[in-house]
Amino acid sequence: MMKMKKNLYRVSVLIILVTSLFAKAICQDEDADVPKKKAFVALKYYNVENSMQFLTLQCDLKSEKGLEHISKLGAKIYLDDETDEANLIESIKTDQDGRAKIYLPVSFKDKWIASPQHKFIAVTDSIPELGVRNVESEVTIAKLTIDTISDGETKSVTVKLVEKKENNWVPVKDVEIKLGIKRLGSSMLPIGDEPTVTTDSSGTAVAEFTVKSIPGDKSGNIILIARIEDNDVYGNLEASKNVNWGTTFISESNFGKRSLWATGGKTPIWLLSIAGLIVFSVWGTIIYLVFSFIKMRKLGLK
Amino acid sequence: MKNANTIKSEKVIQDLLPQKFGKWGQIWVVALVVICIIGAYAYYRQLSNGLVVTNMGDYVSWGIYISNFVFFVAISLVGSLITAIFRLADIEWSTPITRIAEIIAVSAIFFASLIIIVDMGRPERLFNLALHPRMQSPIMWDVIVIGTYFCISLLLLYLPLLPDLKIMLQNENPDTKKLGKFYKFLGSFWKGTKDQSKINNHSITILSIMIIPVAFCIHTVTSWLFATTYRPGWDSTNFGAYFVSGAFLVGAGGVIIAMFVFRKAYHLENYIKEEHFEKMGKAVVMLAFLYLYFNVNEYLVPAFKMKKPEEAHLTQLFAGDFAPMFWFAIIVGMLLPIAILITKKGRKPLPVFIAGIMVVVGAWFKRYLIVTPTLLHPFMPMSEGPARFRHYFPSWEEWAIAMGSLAGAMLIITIFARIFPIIPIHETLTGHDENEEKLI
Repeated sequence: MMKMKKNLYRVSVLIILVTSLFAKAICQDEDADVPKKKAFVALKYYNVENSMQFLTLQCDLKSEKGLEHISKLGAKIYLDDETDEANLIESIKTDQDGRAKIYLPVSFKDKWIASPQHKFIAVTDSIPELGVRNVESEVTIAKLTIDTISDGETKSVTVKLVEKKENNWVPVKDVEIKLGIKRLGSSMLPIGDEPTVTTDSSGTAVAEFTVKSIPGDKSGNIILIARIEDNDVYGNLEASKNVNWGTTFISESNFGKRSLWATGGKTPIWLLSIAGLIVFSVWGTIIYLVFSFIKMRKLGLK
Repeated sequence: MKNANTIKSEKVIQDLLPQKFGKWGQIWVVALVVICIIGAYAYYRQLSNGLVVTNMGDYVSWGIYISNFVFFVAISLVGSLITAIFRLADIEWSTPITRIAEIIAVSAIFFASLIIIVDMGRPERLFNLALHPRMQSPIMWDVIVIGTYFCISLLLLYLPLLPDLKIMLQNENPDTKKLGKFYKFLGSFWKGTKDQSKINNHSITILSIMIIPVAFCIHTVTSWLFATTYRPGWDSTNFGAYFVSGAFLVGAGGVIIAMFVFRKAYHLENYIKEEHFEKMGKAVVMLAFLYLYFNVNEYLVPAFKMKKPEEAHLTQLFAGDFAPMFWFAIIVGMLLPIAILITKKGRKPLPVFIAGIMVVVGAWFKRYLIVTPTLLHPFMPMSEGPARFRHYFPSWEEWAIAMGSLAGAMLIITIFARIFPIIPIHETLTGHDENEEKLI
């Protein structure tokens, strides 16, 4: 029994030793593989209303301090081939948020329409300790459109996605599209139960507009938005449409009205009245006393 | 009997007529004038170079000037305490000290107005307050109420002086021979007729009643300059009462100091008696307890809750950089005077005088503590502000101007006592305040 206990003890010690050594070896390997700093460079393509095309470059650095934006980092953005300087769209520099944005210039129109697929390449300047980064983003030219159907009682929103194949526009199926009402900033309020719809074989998706009493502008207008986000093939597409489906919203601003925080000329009447009453009462009494004094003086000079 | 009374009256008049400065009086005046000149030069530098000569910055934009302003406003409240409240409450023993209280009130409120102008980087813009008034601002209320209080205090100083001016014109005084024309200008019309006395007494009664709410307003509104600003240490509904109680205390302390000094300098022991120190001592004990009560309210409640923004401010006061000054203000400004004055022995002239000095010095530092530590702890500190914003110690110009203003206030009181009787002669002669009108 004693011997068995001794053996069990020896085996346990052996297991602990082997496990800890193995774990240490794994950790050392991992430590060796993980660089202390890592750069994240992302190039994204955007097409808004099928007319405004732009690219964004986001450069971040992950280090022991956490994630930091790389500001003032230079980068060259090319279309299709970075070896030919003729394809250079623009040289840019990131801002304090590590972000840069460029619009596709009109001079690239011919190159753009010449092919349905394109590749954007970003070549950054050297990042300290990490060197130059080269990132690509491939896109297929596509069009996203949004329309509405209303028969009085029910309202629906239709979106359609087509891509360019050779010289034709072909419907695209099974693409997820976000559909909603534009809110402040870039967020959207879903128009129905689901925040997204998926295109069918005709490249179309329909969603019923079930939102009740959404405040619009002065005329009740709201903006419907269809958006494809970070799609591997088409990038980021957005289409919008103004519709008169909201309730009229009349902004009630107190600006320029009499209030405690307004300018001197807009003092509230109640404050002016109370302050005026106090000031005139006290100063009225003082003036009365001055007249009494004058009277007293005259009595003495008689 | 009549003759004996006449001799006694003549003695009183001779005792109370203004006297020339003695050696120490002259040294005192020269010292005050020198401090004032240094202060004026510092202000000239501030006017030439701008507020950059001060150590105020984006955090502490109200420094020693505003502390001084609050101190002056506080001490000026004594005018209403002694003159009005005591007068209306039929407290006859206060007669010899009413004028001391009145001149302290006038000089303090005058320098409170001046120090506000000094705090402005562009003093010529003061007129914008009149050109573009904004009644919603507590600063506007403060300007109105300070102006009003100054006028009322001045009238309350001048009207009771009229019978004394007549006495001064009737009794030749070699020490004020050159001032005859000035006295005539001020009071030659006063004949002391029944009609004149009636008007004068009536006016003084009205002023005594009116000055009480105005005096409460001046200090309450000054407290609102802070309390209407949402900041740690100032965000309090207690501030009006807290300021008024503190003002009464420092005012009473100021009167005690002046009583003692004038008593010694002009040998007024027969007029400012030990009884006056005894009674003022008791008043100070009561006022110190009252102020202590408001202090407990003001600090204990936020300290118990220790809300995050208040925490840094209170920690600085209780145990941080400001702790020595804070505990000095509490112990020397309130607790020690109570300990001295609570016993009968402690209410002899000298201990009362020492307690008065403690109250006034403690009160000055208390005003500094109300203004500065709060400003050093804003709700939203600057992330990239220079380190000097986090600390404040007044520059020599600020010290010189602040001390110059204090010296200026004392100089006005001193010169007034040189020109006019510091104890009302007429009221002393008649044995009671003839100016008094019964309210009911």
